[in-house]
Amino acid sequence: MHNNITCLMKIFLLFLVFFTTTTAVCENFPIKPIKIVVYTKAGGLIDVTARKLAKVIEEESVDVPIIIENLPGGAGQNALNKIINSEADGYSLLAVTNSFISQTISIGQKEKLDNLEYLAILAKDDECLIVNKNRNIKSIDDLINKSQNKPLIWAGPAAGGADNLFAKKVWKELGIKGKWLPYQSGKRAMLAVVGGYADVYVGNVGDILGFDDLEVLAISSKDSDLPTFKSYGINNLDNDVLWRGFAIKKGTSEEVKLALLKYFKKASQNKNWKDFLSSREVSPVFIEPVRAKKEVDIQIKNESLIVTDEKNSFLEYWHYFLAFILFLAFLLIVKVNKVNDLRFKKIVFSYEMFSFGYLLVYLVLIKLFGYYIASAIYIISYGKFLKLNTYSLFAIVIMWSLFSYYVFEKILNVVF
Amino acid sequence: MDIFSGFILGFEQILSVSGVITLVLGVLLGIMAGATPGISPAMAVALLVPFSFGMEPATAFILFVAVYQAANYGGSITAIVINTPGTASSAVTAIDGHELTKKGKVGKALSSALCSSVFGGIVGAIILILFSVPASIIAVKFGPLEYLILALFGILTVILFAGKSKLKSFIAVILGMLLATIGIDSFTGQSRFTFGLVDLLDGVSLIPAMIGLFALAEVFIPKEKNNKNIEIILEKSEPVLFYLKYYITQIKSSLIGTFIGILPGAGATVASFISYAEAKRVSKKKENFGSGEVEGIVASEAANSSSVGGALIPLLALGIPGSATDAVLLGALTLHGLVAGPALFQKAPEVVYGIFISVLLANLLILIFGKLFNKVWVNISKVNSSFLSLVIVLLCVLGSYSLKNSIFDCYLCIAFGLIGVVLKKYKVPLAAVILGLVLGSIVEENLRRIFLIYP
Repeated sequence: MHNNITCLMKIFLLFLVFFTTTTAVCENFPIKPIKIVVYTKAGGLIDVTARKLAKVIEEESVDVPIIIENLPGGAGQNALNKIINSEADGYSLLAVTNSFISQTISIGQKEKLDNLEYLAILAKDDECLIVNKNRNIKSIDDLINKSQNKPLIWAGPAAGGADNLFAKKVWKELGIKGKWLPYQSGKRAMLAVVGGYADVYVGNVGDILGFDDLEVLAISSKDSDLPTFKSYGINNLDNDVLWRGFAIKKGTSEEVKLALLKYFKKASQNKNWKDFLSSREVSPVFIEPVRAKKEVDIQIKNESLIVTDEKNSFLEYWHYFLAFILFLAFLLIVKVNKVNDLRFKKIVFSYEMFSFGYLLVYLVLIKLFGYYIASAIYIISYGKFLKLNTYSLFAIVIMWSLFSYYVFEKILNVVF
Repeated sequence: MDIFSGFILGFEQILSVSGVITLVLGVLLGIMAGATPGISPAMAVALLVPFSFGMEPATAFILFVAVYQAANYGGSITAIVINTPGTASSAVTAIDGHELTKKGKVGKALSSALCSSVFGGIVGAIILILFSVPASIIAVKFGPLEYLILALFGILTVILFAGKSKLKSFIAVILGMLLATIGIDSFTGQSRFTFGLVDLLDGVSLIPAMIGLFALAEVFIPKEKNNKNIEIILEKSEPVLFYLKYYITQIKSSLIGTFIGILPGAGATVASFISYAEAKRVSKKKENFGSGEVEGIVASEAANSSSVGGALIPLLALGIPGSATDAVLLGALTLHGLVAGPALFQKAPEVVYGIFISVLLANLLILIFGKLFNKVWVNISKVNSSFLSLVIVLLCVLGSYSLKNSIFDCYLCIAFGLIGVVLKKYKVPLAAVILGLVLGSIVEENLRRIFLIYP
């Protein structure tokens, strides 16, 4: 026992000596671990980029470890707040993308961005319009023609993000109308184009690697093997990129900034780093603070230019609808408790629920077999459930199709 | 490459010293992580990603997939023993599992969970191995309309089968769906019901809400006095493989689980619910469901384990993550310089077939280790409840915190604990609230997409 304690004390003292010597020797930056704060969960694209960069810098430039701290949540605000509340000593970096900037602006926290100083942009990813080959959209002209009759469906990540912004810019430049179909992630949106639910996907070249059905319609780049907007004769659309970079808190001393910049510059030349990015069709770049700041400013300006022009759909009041149903349910429970739970069950849940379920099946049938056959299947099977005889069923099918032709084709089209 | 040479390649990856060690390690870590509330399978894999830098890609993915599969099983352990679901999908297991524990039949619950987890896992793995490319078409063809109908179907089943009173289940689901509206609306970018709180912008986190509703509420409710005096006699359980007698439920649930697993975004939780409901629907002992019916555990566990194999299908065949854990795996693939998607089968067959074999073998290892550890878990339920309550509260708070390193989630967990007490008092089924929370955004988003696409 006694031995153990002395042993522990020895180790502790050794550590103490070790720490004091290290701090005494290295007066320069960095003397403690550098932290890169990432606003997504581990595994996100920016997280992966930051981790790779940390590894490269650790290998070739610094002796201290570089730690990745994931602070997801709050639409990136948790990470931003963390940087704003930390010391301006250069030990806390923030991984930034233009999606992050768009997000911050769209939730009304624009002034918070003034607390950041942009160090460098290290990866650029050209924006692309991607279409399904089977859709007969071969050129921008086809796109414009097809948009004449009714707006095409454009899929991508959440509204207000960088891709959405680019789409709106394209619509403006081409003078067409489109509908933005948002998904949780870009990849899911791409799947909608593969499956034929959407017409155009706004994304990057790297996304379609291995998908034979997809092709790039136009890329927002000055020189590329793929058709650029310029080759279609459209200007103003050759410099829209998704970028990934790093920022620190404003007020960090110049020496520290220069040291960090040196690491970044060296890393941007590293072969591993370059290979890593080019395997995803992302171009490795090194854009210095001044130009990076410019890039960000353009982004911020673009963002504020966009006016939300979409018509409010009634589904935006979805939560009121849910709340109303909840309220009704509570009323029911008050009532039912007085009456009888069993009777309630009999009325509402056995019969209506069943027909409701049937209605859902009907919707699927419409998609599978077209409208009339679906109606026939629906009515016959439902009629069997109601134990009707065959002749009356047949009559109902005909009546239903006539009736529903008017309901669905005429009336619903006017309503929606 | 045909499947046999692929198999040989896969086995070559695993049957090396490092392969076997990583597989065993992965399964052990996965069971531990799954059993810890707050460490979801996705978190467990994410924590391991930095360690994998030095490994060969194939070895790294053997590890990740073993962790993923094992963590999905591990979640059931704490769900059964202390009513604290370790993963979201084991919330359904907790319904009947914890009731069995209360009756002293914890061994029975654990063994049946283990047996059907392994069964489901193997079915999922087989479908993954044999049909991954053709089955990925399901993920492509499933449009907004289909998603909406699936989600509504999930809601209907939960209303019909979650609890004794359908009206109360209905209220619970709607409450969950309302909670799901909190956060940024992805269609307009507006923030809804956030009250200016930054932490609510991404919505209510599922894990803290679930831990709060299930575990904390259980702790907050004072135990009835009678329970103290009666010594619960632990029944001895039948051997694990005895539970193969529920093979019909297991096969059905596994198929449901794999199918729903393939759909990106739907996930293991929905699969568990639907197969639970299906098991209850056909059962002759409907009234036993909810008060400790082995078949409920069997259905839920088989479904959520088989969804692992299902969720890997879109990831490998299309490069689209099928679940939260898959999103992490996608990132890990990128980190190792691989590009997920259709080309992966040609470019890195050793990784793909390594994953295949790993999913399959991980299940066998789960069976072995699960059997060994079951004796340990059984003893936890012998610990007196006041001490256990303390541990549960600690686990809940730590688990909520560790998810995003955010203290707000701890408050959220406690708030949900209090809500849970109220709901429990009025006998509103808690699992239905969780499903409402999961399905709320699926229903809303797809409904809105439909109105955009089909004008």
